Amino acid sequence: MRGWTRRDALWGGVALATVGCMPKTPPLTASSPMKVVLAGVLAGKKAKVRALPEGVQRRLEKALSARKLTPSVLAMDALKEPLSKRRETPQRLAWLADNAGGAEAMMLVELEAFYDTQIQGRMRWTVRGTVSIGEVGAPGAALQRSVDTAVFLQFLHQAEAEAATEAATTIERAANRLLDDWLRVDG
Amino acid sequence: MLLSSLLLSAVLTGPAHAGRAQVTGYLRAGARPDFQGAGATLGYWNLYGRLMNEGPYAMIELDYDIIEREPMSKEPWTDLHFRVEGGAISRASSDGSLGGFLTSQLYVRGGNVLLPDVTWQVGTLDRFLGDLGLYDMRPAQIFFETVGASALWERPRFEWLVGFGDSGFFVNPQAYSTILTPGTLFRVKVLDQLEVGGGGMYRYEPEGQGNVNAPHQTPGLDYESWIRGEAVQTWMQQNPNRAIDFPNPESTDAKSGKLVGYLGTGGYGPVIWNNLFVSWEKVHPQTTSTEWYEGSEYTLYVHDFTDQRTVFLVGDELQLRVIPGRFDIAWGGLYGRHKDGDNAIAPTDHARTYMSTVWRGQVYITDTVHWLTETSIAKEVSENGNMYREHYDSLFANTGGRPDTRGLENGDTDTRYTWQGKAGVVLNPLGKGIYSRPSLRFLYGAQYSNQNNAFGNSFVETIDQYNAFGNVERHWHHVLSLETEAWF
Repeated sequence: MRGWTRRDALWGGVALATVGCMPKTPPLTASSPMKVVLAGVLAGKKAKVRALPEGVQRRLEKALSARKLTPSVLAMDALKEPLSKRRETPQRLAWLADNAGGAEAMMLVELEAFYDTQIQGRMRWTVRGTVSIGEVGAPGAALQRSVDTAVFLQFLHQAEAEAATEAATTIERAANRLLDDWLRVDG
Repeated sequence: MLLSSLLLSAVLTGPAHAGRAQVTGYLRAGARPDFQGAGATLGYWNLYGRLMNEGPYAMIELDYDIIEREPMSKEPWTDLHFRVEGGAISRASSDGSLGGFLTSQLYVRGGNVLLPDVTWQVGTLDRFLGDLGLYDMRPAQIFFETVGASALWERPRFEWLVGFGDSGFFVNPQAYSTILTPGTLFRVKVLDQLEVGGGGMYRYEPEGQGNVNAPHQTPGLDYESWIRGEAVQTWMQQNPNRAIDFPNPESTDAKSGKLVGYLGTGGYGPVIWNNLFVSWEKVHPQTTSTEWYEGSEYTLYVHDFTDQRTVFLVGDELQLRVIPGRFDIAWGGLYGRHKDGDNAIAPTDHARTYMSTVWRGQVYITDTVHWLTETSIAKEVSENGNMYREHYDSLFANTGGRPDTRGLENGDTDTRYTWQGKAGVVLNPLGKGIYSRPSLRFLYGAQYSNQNNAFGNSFVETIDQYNAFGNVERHWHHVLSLETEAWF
């Protein structure tokens, strides 16, 4: 068998460069920087909502920042009681509009995660929820996009937070699409 | 079972919640151009790592939520699961027939009924404490073959399953006989970084006089003659002209069971998680075997010849995040010992020891483009003499290199060594992670074994002088794999 030649190395480099240079579409951006209050909650079997896992939260903030939208994150301490009590999206949006802290827009991410079944060595979970974006002054006109996806965890000890993290790519894409749709008209 | 399921559904159906259907499943499929024209798997089985050693497979499950679970609620919920699975992809097996698929799971669950945090399940009961992903093995699994009812009590740091059912449908599908199967399984999260689990199940097949499918033993048979397939012939020779007196089977009961243990730890330093599983199983005795003698078929009842088979397994898998976001590894080990107290003379799969280690590393070139490398080394030892053939012309070589045409051995060595290496590009649309799926893989694999042609094949093995195809000495095996694997 012949050894590696310089030509082989060159072709390998070209292949890697091709992968690295895949065209990426830049996101739409706001016409001017805008402060957006971001509230995200995750619900499951427990009686109260909890914070979004860090992996999901970071991607949402990145989605906002990439569009010249400055995220102002509401801490879980402020969200836990009111959003555990208010369980419907319009109720939560109305509360968020009243507690936006001077932001011009608001983004609400509500996720639920449920264990389904064991399949082929994995634990199947369903992650579903709603991503909403709108102006603080008009919570009833917020745009919404649903998320409903299955994820497959490796370990039994993993629960709602790990399921949501596993769905982070899907949630991020839903948020990106929603933000682009919103900015295209209202941005 | 169906009646119970319907009753459970009826009891739970009340509030006006819309039903919700989901389809879930698993598949692996692809092409495996085989440079040696063999069976398109790199080696014989997944002791050398599941990758490139398993064939195509598909599994599809309907999950119908009759009453959906509500978040932050203790309200009753119920769902129905129906799973079909098999390996008949294109014409890879069963000639592509849907008959190659099995209805493997069918159950109805109800949660928060009678007791909060308890899920009742009626139907199939399969449950495991985790998976050795590198091997596609689940040593800590119970109720795989059981249909019945179970209750699973789940708390944040504790879960406990108790079940009872019948394994007769699965163990003896063509000759059903009740196999009562109680069992239990628990898992405790001691710390966030440590959990333990264990459990077991017991199978009891009662004596059933008059039931041809119940366990029996045909008396007067000799074990060695039986394993040679000559038990009837031997009896007839010892009892000439007394065919009519061939002994009737004597009824007995059959017992078997399984114990499992689990230790999980992780979430510190580079350790993502480590799963250690151990299991000991007493295999359920075989009911019958058949022999032909002078044009007649004889059914032999062989409970006493097959009631001392055990399987001991220890498996471990460690996942490490070596360079966060750039390089992860998974490292597994497996030890298995199969013993057969009835058989001290013939090499079989019930009398062997094996051990292996599998290492997989994955480099993340980008979020979705990865480079995979896997290697494994394995040793398999037959406890009852030679079982493997090292050379194509060693058909007549037995212990000491001497031919033994009446010997029970097969081959010229009792030990098989196997090395495998696999590497290639993996596309993972959902991002980083050794077990991120779906995966589209483009791999090359090589195997070296001391056994000749140690992979599934249709090669001519005879060294008869009229063999028109010839024989080949081949210890290396090379395979390309263009494959995909997904849970969905």
